[in-house]
Amino acid sequence: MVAPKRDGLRRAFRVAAPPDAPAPAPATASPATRAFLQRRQQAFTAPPRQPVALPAADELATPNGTLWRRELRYALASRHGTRPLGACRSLVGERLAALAKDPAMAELRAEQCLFLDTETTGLAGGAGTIVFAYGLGFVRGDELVVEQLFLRDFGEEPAMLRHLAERLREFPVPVTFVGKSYDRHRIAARLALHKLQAPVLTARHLDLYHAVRRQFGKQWPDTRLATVEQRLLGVHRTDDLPGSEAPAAFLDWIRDGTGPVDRVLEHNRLDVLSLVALLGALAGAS
Amino acid sequence: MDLSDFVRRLCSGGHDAPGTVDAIHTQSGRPAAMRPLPEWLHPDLVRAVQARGIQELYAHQRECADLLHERRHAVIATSTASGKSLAYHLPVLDAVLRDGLDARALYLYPTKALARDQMADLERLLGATGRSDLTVAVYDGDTPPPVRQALREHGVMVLTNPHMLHQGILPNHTKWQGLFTGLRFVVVDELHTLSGIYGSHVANVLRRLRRICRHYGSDPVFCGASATIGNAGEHARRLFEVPVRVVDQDGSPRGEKHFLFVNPAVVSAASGMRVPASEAARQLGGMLLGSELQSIFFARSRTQTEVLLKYLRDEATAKKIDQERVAGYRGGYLPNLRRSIEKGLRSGEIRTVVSTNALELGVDIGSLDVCVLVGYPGTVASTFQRAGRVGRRSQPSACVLLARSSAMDQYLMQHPGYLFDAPRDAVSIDPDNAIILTNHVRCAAFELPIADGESFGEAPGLPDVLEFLAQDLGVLVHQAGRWHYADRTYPAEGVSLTAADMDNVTIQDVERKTILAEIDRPSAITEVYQGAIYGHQGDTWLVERFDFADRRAFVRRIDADYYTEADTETEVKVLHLDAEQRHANYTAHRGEVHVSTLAKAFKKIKFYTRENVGIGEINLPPEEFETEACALVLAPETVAALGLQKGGEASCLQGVGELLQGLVPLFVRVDPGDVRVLAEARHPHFQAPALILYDRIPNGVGLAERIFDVHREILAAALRLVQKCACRSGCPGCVGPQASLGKRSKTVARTILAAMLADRPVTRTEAEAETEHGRAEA
Repeated sequence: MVAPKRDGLRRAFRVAAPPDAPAPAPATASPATRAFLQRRQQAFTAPPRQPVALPAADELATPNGTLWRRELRYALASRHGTRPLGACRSLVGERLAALAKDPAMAELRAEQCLFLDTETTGLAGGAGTIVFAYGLGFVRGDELVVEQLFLRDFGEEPAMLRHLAERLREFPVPVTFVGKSYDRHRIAARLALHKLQAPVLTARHLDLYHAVRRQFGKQWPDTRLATVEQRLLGVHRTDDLPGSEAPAAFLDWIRDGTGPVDRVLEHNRLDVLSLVALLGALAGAS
Repeated sequence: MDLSDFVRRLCSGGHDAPGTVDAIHTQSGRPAAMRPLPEWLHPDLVRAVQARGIQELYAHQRECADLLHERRHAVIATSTASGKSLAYHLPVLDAVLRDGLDARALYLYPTKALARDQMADLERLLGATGRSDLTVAVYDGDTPPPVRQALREHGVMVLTNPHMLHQGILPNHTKWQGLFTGLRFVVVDELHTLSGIYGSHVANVLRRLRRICRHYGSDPVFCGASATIGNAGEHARRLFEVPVRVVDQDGSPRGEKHFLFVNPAVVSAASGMRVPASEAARQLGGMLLGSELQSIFFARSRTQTEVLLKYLRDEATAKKIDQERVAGYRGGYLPNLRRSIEKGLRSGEIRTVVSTNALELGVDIGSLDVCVLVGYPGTVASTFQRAGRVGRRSQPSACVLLARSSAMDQYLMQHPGYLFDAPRDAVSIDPDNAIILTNHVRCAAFELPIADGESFGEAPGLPDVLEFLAQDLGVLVHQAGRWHYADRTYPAEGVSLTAADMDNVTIQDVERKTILAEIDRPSAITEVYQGAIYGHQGDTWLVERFDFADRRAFVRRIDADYYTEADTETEVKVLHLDAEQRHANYTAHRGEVHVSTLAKAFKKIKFYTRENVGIGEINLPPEEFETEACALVLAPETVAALGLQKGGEASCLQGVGELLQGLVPLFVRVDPGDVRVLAEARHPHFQAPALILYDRIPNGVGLAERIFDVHREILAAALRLVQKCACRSGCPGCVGPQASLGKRSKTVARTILAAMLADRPVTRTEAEAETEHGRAEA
């Protein structure tokens, strides 16, 4: 029962030491190890990645650490795809109630909404799944404000979550796409881990995915956001980073600053705008 | 026929007797040692307990309950059916009744079935207190979502199993905040089953649990419940990593119990072969059918259970007894069927049951009269667990041990006292096994980032593990003094609590394209090589192809009249030695080794006739792993004195190896196959004959160290067995069949063992005299 040393662990897990040039994986290694060694080999032979520059943003100093915050403002008169962003200002009560299958929702106004989309490191959930970016949208006067929070390193999470908590209190009704079953639980876990309270598991939560399924589920091949964007919002993204690549982007970023998180943030920005446009399309006065 | 008649009939022998009664050991009865109900017990609970007919407690129940009430960690290690569960239910329920959600409890059972069984019991007790507002439930794969939610939010007692805690609860601890914040008790039942690989994993799951509790500010009391093993206190301390008080003075009443050691008749004096134990079991079954005695037969495998059951049912029909009075029982049966059999046993409708070890653990079947063990179960604890199934209150009962031809069983026939002497059955785990520890540290980091300087239980070398996970496996990132989990995978999914190394081979049916079974990679090279015959649920399958790199074997169902056996060569290289013990004729070493097993060829052997009908090649890489071992190396002078320089004689060392391998389980608690012995006529490292006993689990789980500590007892037992064995020149009951090891194997083995146990260097003349002596006796 000798204390494990790194060499011993490498031998036990059949992982070669990071050498000058990695050797191919032996057939005796497990498939998981071989996949890992293959990735390492690819990384070794791939051209060196450049560090990624984040889009321009503010760096706020708070009592709980620094916070990276990007604010973008859109006139409500402007359009996202073919849809005016301002449509969310004139919501029809009956249509809202039908969307949410909840009569109380008929009273909803845009000023109460927090449009919300998260970027995480995995779908399995659990305490170790990290929410590394929040895309928030809210109406302020005649503008739609899109606010992005990004976790540049783990030390910035407390400040990030406190800011998010404030927003959740300020705008009590989250509007999401698949957020009821996914995003809000990831957020709840991060808050709990840092021992913070915030009204994220509120009873009132408008998840537009369910509304889209009810209305268009039978006609469309699927009800993914991309399909909704194309068929309902007139939005066609070019060179969009697929959501499935977001986790790897962040994990590379956190290691050596080279993951394409700028593209993730761009993807996230469009997600938030689509949420706003979608609400207007589904429940706005036509 | 009552119990005394039965014992008399067995002892009197006769042509229909299953064998000779080599020994009888009678455990005298004892009255109960009672203590009053504790004064601290909540009045509602006092009423509830009295309503169930309990006015006082057994001494051990009271002792354990008091300890837990005082918030002291404890382990209760008394016999089966001694009411252990009440010892921990009372303090837990008392706390719950007084402090509600601030005194929550987590119960860990090894199986879902056991958890549900205990739940039923708990529900009755709780119901009797009148508190229907408390949420108490089982949390496992079958728990419906609304119950899961209720448990997470306001469950005061959560019953679950280690797997669920590992994969479901701990990684999602934020959803279980209430439980962890208010956790006051953690009860772990059947502690003795947490041994070997499984126990080593669970020890680490508990380390993660304690870490999460610290995060939420709770400091629960641990209670273990165990069968009687040699080191209950030490084992509990290792699992919980806290000081533990041991409660092992059993106050429950016991009737007289007769242990009968029955050895089936010898069929051939020359070869030492005996009538198989399963045959003897049939005869015994015949004797018991139709008597008033309720009996339970423990068979060693599912097949054996089914076969014995069939025979007994046929016998029942022949004797005009209702077949339904005879039942089989095994884990594979559906829950409903098992519940009805358990009920039938309790009510007395079922008179005879044939079971696998499934009925060894906790499930309530009442108390029967006769227990028959078809072959020694392998450990003292199992033997007593099974024997614990018989004996109603102060009525006499009997436990019959039917011996097989193996060394271990025959040793017991010769030395029945072994079972009753000071307990040797010690459970071993190694929570710091490199692979196991590393996997759990990874899971722990997923749950909560690990801070620099933090400890993980008593695990040594944590910084190295963290560096490895970060730099070599790339799953952690070190930032601002903490190690964060930085990977997409959900680590608990990739860690199975029953495997040392999650690398399984799937066996696929080529015709139906379905997965038939899974086998661990190390076993695969001797089981599913191309051309092998693979047995599955009684059918034979031919392995058409084995894709080793992708871990897939493809099989086709055929009707084979032969089976296959792989020939393997094992090489053990010494990496380094850590401890040494010198004796007159040999030196014992303990250290780390590299084991390499190569399967090069296989034989095709016809069923029944056992003719060799073909051979084949195996083209697979060797199985290699590092582990711990104990090596016994003969001194050069001894080698000369015993004339072991010559090849032929030295190969008799093999017989000694076989014997030691067979007896290890009597001295160290191991699962079959956990320890292997390699006998080398001239080991390259030592340049001398060596016996290397190695732990088959990669990186070891503490077995080699235990063996090193007790090896002289094993040697002594081996010598006694060989001296007393009635065979002429070798049999499965001692050094192995003469046919495979040669005529002189027994005599030379005896000489070697005697030399090793001697306290002076043996001389040539002494060695020759011993050999002559051995030859004369044979």
